[in-house]
Amino acid sequence: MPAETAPVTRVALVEDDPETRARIAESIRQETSLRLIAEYATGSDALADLESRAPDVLLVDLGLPDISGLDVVRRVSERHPECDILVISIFGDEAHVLSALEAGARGYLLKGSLQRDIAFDIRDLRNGGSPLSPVIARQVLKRLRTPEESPSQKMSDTDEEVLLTARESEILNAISRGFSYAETAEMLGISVGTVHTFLKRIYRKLAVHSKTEAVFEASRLGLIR
Amino acid sequence: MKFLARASALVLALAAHATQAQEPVVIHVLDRADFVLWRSRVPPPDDAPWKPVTLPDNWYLSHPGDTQVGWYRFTYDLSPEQARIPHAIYLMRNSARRIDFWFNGRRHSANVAIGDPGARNWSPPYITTVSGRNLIPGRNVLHIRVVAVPEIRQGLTRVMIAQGSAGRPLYEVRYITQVTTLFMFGAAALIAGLLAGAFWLRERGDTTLLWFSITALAWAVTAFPWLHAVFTPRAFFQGPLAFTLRFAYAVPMLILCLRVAGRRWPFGEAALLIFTLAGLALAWLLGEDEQGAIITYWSMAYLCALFALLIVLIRSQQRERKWAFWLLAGALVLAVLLNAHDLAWWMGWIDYESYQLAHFHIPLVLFAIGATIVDRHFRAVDAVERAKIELEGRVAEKAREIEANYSRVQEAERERTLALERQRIMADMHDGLGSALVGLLGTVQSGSTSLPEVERRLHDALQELRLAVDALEPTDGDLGVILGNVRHRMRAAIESSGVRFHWQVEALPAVPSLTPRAVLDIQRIVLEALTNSLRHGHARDLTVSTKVNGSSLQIGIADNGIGFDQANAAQGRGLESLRRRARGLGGAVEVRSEPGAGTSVTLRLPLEYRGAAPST
Repeated sequence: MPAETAPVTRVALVEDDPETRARIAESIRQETSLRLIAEYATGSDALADLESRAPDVLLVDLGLPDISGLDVVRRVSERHPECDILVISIFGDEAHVLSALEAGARGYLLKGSLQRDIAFDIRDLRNGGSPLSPVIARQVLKRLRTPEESPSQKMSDTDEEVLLTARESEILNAISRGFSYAETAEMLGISVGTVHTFLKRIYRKLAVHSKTEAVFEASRLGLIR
Repeated sequence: MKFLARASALVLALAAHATQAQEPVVIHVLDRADFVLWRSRVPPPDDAPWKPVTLPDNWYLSHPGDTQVGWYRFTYDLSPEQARIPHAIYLMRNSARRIDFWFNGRRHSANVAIGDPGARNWSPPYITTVSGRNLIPGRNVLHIRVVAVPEIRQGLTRVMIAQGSAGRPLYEVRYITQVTTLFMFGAAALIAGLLAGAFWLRERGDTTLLWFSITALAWAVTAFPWLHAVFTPRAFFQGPLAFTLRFAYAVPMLILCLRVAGRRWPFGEAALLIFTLAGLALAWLLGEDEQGAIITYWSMAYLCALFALLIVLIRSQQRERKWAFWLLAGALVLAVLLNAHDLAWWMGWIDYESYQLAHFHIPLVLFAIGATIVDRHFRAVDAVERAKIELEGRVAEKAREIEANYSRVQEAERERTLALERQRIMADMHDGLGSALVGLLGTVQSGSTSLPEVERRLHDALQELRLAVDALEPTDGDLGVILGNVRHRMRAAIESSGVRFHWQVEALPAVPSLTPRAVLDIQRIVLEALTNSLRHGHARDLTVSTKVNGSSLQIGIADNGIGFDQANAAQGRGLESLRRRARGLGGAVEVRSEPGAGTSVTLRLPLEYRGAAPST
């Protein structure tokens, strides 16, 4: 076992469909760098067990029978910020993935992907974040516009926290046009690691933005004063 | 206002004091005399019934009744030096119908034109030079003959014999206070009245302006008494005219103040007008000797009216006390005080030599009301300005509303289009994906297909479904994102194939009119070309490039694989579906391939995309 060269990634799985769960578990077991430490069929089981310990990577199906997968993502990411969360999605469509990212997920796994792809995605995730789809990159760009682009932005005091810098916009822009992280790094004359760092920051901004936006929405609706 | 008389006395005293060192007496103030009622035109003899009197001598108090003739006799001493230089005789008030001066038994001169209305209403001072010939060293005797109307408060003030020009400053101060100011106020009122009248012509509804104009002009007429001296040659008219001038402006001014206070008293105003007209008629009917009583009652009435007005004004504006209000209130208070002062003089309650001060209230009142009118004007201008701003705001708000409505309509339109597109894509999938799944099911049931083949075909179907879902995401026709998404979806396939992938996608213009279905078709073409290359091409390099060429976009998918023979029927069918899709997009697909020379698929699309032509 190459334990001393590459540390083993501990993975936990929340998935209600037994077949899918078995299939994903099988793919993880086949990969020597991954170790499956827990499987849960319901969100509440997962939350109860993950209260005290956390895996390196948590795979969460969004469509759970008891509670929303988004709630699991939110609670675990708040409790264990160091835990990387991937949501399992059939389509990887913008609506699901964006809300998962806002809840604190770091990427998604396509249900029905080829087996090798799952290990592939987890590796990517550990290396700095799973690839953002162009459609989602574009949505993030639209949501976290830089101040020059939207002078009428209402949350001036939290601009720093939630608005994109010029470099972050450049990166998202390249990704939205289909470029890989490596290509993006090369185009901008930075390292791939830097691209990953920027992306982590963008994910954080997205989560903060979704919170401030919720506050803004709530105050607009008169729920908070 | 007695202090003015006191002040002039003080000036006299100071002048006398200052000059005592060199010359014993500069001004002889004669306030004691002998008096006799005597009609002759020459001084009465010494054995006439002279009686000592003290000056000033107000005949209304000392000799009430009809017009009479009386003589005053003064004595004063001059040194030989003084007797040689000219002197002047100065009276603070030229207040008798006729005054004759006799120096040492010789007739010197007389005041002239004393009967004019100005002299009667505003009593200017009088000064005349006495040459050295009329003066003698030692005791001098001065006789003054006075014809006075007691009813209109005529009489004689103290007499001053001033050496050289020493009397001139006293005269000037008095003249400026009583006469020059009158002319100044008159001129100012004339201009103000004409201006207000001109403004009123533009603004007929503003009666305040009209009354202001009338008051100012009436006052201007009142303030030029010399006009009447010129145009009223017959002394008979001078008395009634003096009365008319004295009261002509009173009614307009009272009405004006009422208007400014925002009041309108038809009965009170009419009563005042009738009262004034009655006064005028009486003045013209009655003789000079009876006018005193009319002036007394009418002055009192106007003073009361003025006082009442002041009260009304203060009460009416209690809530809104602007500076303009205080100005007018102050002017009216002064008007009451000044008029009361002159009335007190008229009644003989204060010093006969006091100044007449009532005319000072006119410029004050006119100025205060003028300021009020100007203030009101600017308030109106401000209000218009504010209304304009408010209106602009409302227009802007409406514009925003309309814009919002418009974008809502647009949004609804977009939603509708999207729903339509969704339906079309569903129909597409029904035909494409549905029949593919049915076909797959058939082959699985018959057992004629290998498991990897089933997996591949299922994978393709899922890919197709994902693309369809992606196509419904709002991309706003961003071609970069649309192409990028194809690469993203094929990432695993590309990376596991081991091919060197070259992504040469430049910044592409957005085509907002691109429908989801067109997006899906573009993605399918690129996906199919890529899939073909990956599956069958055995290529080392795979390149996706874009090029904007005028109004068309060129997307190229090229590999350096084994190529194929275009005559091959099976592959020809696949190409045919590509071409059909491209035609549906209003574009074209060009495929170049030869065995061993790689394959290139080029899709050309118009950039002014107007929506897919209905595909058959």
